[in-house]
Amino acid sequence: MGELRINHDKCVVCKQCITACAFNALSVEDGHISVNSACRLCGSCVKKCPLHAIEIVEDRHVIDRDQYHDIMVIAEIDGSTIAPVSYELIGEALKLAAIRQDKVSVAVLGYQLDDMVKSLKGYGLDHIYVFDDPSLSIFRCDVFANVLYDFLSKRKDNVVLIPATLNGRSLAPSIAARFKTGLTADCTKLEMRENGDLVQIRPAFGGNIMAMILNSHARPQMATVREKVMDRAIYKNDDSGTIEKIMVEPSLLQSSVLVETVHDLPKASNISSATRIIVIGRGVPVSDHPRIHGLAKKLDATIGYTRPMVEKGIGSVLYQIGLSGRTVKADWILTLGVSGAIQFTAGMDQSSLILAINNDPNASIFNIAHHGMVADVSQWLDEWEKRYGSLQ
Amino acid sequence: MKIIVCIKQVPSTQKVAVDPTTGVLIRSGIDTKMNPYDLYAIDLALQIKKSTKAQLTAITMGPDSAKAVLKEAMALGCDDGVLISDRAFAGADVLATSYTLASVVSSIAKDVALVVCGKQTTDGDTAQVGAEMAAHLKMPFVGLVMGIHDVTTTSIGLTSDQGNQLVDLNVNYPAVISVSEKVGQPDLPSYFRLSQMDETKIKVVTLQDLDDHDPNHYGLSGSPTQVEKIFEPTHDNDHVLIHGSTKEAMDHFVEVMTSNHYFRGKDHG
Ligand SMILES: Cc1cc2nc3c(=O)[nH]c(=O)nc-3n(C[C@H](O)[C@H](O)[C@H](O)COP(=O)(O)OP(=O)(O)OC[C@H]3O[C@@H](n4cnc5c(N)ncnc54)[C@H](O)[C@@H]3O)c2cc1C
Ligand SMILES: Cc1cc2nc3c(=O)[nH]c(=O)nc-3n(C[C@H](O)[C@H](O)[C@H](O)COP(=O)(O)OP(=O)(O)OC[C@H]3O[C@@H](n4cnc5c(N)ncnc54)[C@H](O)[C@@H]3O)c2cc1C
Ligand code: SF4
Ligand code: SF4
Repeated sequence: MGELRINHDKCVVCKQCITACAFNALSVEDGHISVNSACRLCGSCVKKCPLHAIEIVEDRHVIDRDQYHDIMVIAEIDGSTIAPVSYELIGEALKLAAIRQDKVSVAVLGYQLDDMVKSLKGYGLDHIYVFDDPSLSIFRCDVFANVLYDFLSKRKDNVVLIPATLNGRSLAPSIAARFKTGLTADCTKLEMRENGDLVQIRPAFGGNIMAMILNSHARPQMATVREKVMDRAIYKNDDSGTIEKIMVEPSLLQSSVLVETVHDLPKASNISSATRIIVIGRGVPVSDHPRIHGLAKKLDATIGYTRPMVEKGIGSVLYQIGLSGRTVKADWILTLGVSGAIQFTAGMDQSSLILAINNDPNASIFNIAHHGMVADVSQWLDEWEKRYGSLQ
Repeated sequence: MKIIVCIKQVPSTQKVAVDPTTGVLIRSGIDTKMNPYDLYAIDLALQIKKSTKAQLTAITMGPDSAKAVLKEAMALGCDDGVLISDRAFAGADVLATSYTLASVVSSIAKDVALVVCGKQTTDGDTAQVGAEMAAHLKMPFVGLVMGIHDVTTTSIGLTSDQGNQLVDLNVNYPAVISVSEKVGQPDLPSYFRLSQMDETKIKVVTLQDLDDHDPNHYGLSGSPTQVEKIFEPTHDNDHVLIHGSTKEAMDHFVEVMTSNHYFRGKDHG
């Protein structure tokens, strides 16, 4: 078995390895460096030791890589449509597949899927496998995992990609553990090697560290990917994607988990849960508000307001951002004609991508915006309409 | 009735950096704490314990110092704690970690009703251990529980957060669940109670105590994934200010939005 070995004859107990270890796995015991069970065998201490006194001893079995081909994407359903993230995973899978001329197929689980699955045709998929059953209308992790494991275990896919949505993050590990294979969470970059190994890059420690992960000794190689990380597949308008219905064995649908009731959540009843936001500030002429609503529609964004706009009765207090309003943590937020007072920014500065448009180059919003643009809002909206059509 | 809650000791800061020349993790300190998401798991487990009079055991896999989080769990109301510690468990990825935890559950608590996990950790950050444990234990898994109802000694009602839907489920024991931070603010242990906790009450489990003690199923040998390297993310220019024509401002906006996949240009809609 693999383990960390310290050569005490070489070691001078300089303790550099102890500080190099991020997992608190090394300490001095009875005058010797000692490793405890927190060790992840990450190798940091091995690199750090100036005397090469630490090594990782591994022994592993080998799999026959050539037996495994093709990529399977597990689609996510959102209400009565295939969720956009599914197309993003298909797009990425097609790119990865090109390296070894693999085929890409997709599996869809749910109920009354006939119309939905047709929309997956024409993207260059090989097969669209459809599991259509009333028991699959609501996600239950054990049932979905049983059905998919039964299906996948009869195939030899090299890679299985699953959306890192709330349900996907339960489903993926449930399948991976049944296979006893590796699963890399929330990958932000994937690369296919000629030998079939999938190079998986993901953030950890809340995004402070990136890790490159391989799963060379097990198949299928499984990974989850979040929304809006990969490029969407391009619609080719051809006949690709053979729809094949798979009969589900009734025993696979049995579960000790019963669905009682389902509550559909209303879309953003206040601004705090919005992930894409356009903020209207006092600098925007009121006559331009309709155009901004048009822009929000185009970009699938929710409109938020600064306090003066709420005080004027233009926006509801439920959509006010800031100290005396709501706090948001958006994927992206665009502020228009907002000065950037601390009482406002305190409610939005944790957003991932902050863009700001203001005609004053010294506006303090530019201190926190990742992308500041000095421009007059009205002229900027004119420019948008020139390129992409009317916003009214 | 027995409930097990799984907790993990994590570094107290996520601000770790990588030395650019050696590729080694640099830590600002070696302080550790309980994974904050596990406090919600403990809180929910305590609620269930209250209405079922179940025995609640906290378990953690980690080094000897991880006894600190078990003490914290006991100060919050867990009846006892189990430290899972053995050189053979070193280097474990999610599969091996979950297999180890599952082996412990089936070895020490054969009649367990419920295994409660946090949503994710703040270090490995995969949110995968709970579901994989359920698969090893051949129990159903319910993720992101944000409320409970109809708690009895044979079954429990769970509200699971599925993103655009909240789903009420009824589950016959046994089951594995993960707990969402949306369940509400958890308690923190008081210093007084913490100081009263007796570390000797913590049971230590090693490989030899497990029903399956084949070392190849644990630690690095039992781990299919390998972390090949770690590095710091590259930040594209943290702050840019475009101070030019309106056209340039629009070019920049479109460039940022398309490169982040939030906009696809003319065919968008
Ligand atoms: C206790 C307390 C709590 C508060 N809580 C909040 C809160 O929760 N939320 C909140 O928003 N505020 C809050 N405020 C108010 C806050 O201090 C600011 O006054 C407010 O945020 C300013 O709003 P604004 O940016 O829309 O307007 P302004 O500060 O008036 O800024 C307008 C900006 O638009 C620019 N501009 C003008 N014309 C154009 C144009 N044609 N094109 C482009 N840019 C243009 C200007 O350069 C200016 O920077 C609070 C204040 C206090 C004291
Ligand atoms: C940078 C980095 C990236 C990594 N990426 C991956 C990866 O993509 N795939 C992979 O398989 N491994 C990965 N690992 C290894 C993995 O993080 C650890 O092996 C760890 O044991 C498992 O997961 P976690 O911290 O992500 O836990 P999570 O799955 O996030 O934890 C969920 C819950 O499980 C319970 N739990 C987790 N760990 C323990 C424990 N030790 N004791 C008791 N309960 C516990 C807790 O209730 C916790 O709230 C990575 C490690 C590092 C350092
Ligand atoms: S860095 Fe090397 S020499 Fe120094 S204490 Fe660690 S093992 Fe010993
Ligand atoms: S291999 Fe990594 S985790 Fe193990 S002792 Fe060395 S630095 Fe720490």
